[in-house]
Amino acid sequence: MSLAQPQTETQTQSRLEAETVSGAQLFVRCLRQLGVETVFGYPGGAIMPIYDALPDSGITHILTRHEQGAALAADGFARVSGRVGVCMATSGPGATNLVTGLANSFLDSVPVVAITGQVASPLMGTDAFQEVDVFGITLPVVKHSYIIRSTEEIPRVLAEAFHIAREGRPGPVLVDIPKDLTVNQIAADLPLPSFPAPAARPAPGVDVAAHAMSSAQRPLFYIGGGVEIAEVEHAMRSLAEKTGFPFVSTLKALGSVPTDHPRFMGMLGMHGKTAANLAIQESDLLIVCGARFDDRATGKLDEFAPHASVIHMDGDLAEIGKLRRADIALPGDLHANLTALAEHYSETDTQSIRPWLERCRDLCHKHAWDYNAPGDKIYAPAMLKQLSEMDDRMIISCDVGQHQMWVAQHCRFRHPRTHLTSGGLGTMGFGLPAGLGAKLANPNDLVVVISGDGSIMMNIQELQTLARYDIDVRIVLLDNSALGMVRQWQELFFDGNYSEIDLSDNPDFAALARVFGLKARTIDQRDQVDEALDWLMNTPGPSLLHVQIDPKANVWPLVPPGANNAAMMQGEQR
Amino acid sequence: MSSHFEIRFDHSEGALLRCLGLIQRRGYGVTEMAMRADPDGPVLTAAIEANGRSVETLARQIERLHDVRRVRNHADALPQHSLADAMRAFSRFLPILSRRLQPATEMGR
Repeated sequence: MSLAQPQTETQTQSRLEAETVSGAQLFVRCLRQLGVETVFGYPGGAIMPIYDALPDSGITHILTRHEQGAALAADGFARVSGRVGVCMATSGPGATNLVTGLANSFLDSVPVVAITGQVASPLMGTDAFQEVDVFGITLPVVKHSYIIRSTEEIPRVLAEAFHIAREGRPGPVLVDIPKDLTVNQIAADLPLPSFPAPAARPAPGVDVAAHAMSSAQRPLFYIGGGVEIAEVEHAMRSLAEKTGFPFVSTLKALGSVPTDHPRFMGMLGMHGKTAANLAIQESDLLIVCGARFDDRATGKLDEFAPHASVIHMDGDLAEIGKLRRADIALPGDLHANLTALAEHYSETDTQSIRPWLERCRDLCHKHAWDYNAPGDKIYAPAMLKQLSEMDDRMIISCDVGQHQMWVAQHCRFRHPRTHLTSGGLGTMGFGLPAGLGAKLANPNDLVVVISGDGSIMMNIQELQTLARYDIDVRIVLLDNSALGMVRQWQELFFDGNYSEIDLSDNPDFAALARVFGLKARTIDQRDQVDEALDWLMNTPGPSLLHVQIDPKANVWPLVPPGANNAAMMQGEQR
Repeated sequence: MSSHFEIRFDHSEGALLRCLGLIQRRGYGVTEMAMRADPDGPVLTAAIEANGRSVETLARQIERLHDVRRVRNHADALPQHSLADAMRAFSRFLPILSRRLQPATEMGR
């Protein structure tokens, strides 16, 4: 007995020692258990223990050259994969550099978990070196946020953070962890909580909605980004096929609906297709699916779709009735509602909508894009269309500005999660880091970044990330030597008073890309396009095609700010 | 005209800040508020000026917050968490007394 007791204590003690890990090791183990394979980040003082635990964790860390690049790469990764994107930064400036990326994910409902190191708990609130209240700073731009207050909380907080980021309407979640908690020793076997999926039922009123659809004379689907988020593209397409109704989409839904479908009328809104905007104004029933009546989509809200009743389906109850009254509200699970709607619709007597379909066809025919721009300079819309038709499953990650709208108007998208665009926040600098995140999420897909000479300079440092990891992203840089969208607005709405939009002192972008280790070339004539695009598509490895276009090229059509969507301006093609 | 909300939170860091920030950011105004600690979590009662916006939409946006358990929109009730609250509720019938009781007296609770 006297011998047995010390033996047991020794065994117990050694087992405890074997099962004890640092908070940082526990943190990284939890990430791995939650399915994390890739993390984008940038190290620094307060997060060093977590970086110390990373190398043996099985997680691949991608070192971006700026924390904003990490946040936007995580965003792109999440958009393409449908999984939670993860980014990491240290306290203070590292954390504040994430903020734009988090706001971007928040406004486009992208599931991201951002991990920030924080100064040690005793130093919090003392203005310590690199201390900033990132919890407070990010409150308006995250879905939820945590400060971990004890090492024991790590598994619960991380499991909750990942759950919250992707459940319902997704969004970014911040996890701030003080340095001392990552150094503390703790038992290694703390369990991760799990969260059951809620039951999905169709909303009451689906039968009423189906009846309204059957009796409408000019029905139109208005499809938004919520379709891709809820992964209900198939159910959406089935309903569209079953009813035979024409459809328009928002910027974010391009790809959720195939843009070469014969009944697709185009993107609606400020730079939408004329046929789409006119059809909306003439329709008598809008079936809104996962869209939120954004001001860029509706134009003057009071005059938007003036003759239409509205059926509004959305996973987020708070969006229903926020800006436009819903005559029939179908909140909740989109899949359940779309499926039930299709079943009920089959059971109703449908009215012929042939005149409306003919009207829509006429609108599409009359307002088809014209690619015969005069002159020898490169006409960007035609080139982008040509590029997008060179591969069936090309992922296009675009930046923000005129080229973003040309991509939306003219590129062909046939598959969901292939059009990456900063729709809500309009973040210049989004395209390149999001594109590299997308390529890491789907290595087998061709990823092309479409950028502008203003946007590319916002995160130009990420060219080095492409080179460092040999991430095969192809970049098309449309260079008009100006901040083109601002220039267009100054031309149209500020009497041509061009203020701070001139970028004619741009660097030689091809030479710059080569310095970073990319292959690169420049073109400026229309007859060079075919050969240059062939080069881009058939040259493995990261590359950049610098395309000089007319500095006075504008995006048409354009609904002036505050006007109704039927009041589209049209101008000269360059 | 103000609407009166009762908002129940989980025990969660930053829940009040998150909620008040949302109300302000969405264009609504808080004209009175009081906080109390119930055993199952803090409770905020607030009089909210809608400034022409939809109160129902605000309630849904608050409900969407992860650490909000329940939102009730009381059309006619005033916050009544303290003696001062109760006196003010009663003083609606006594105009002079009501002017002496400033909402700021409860702000720190």
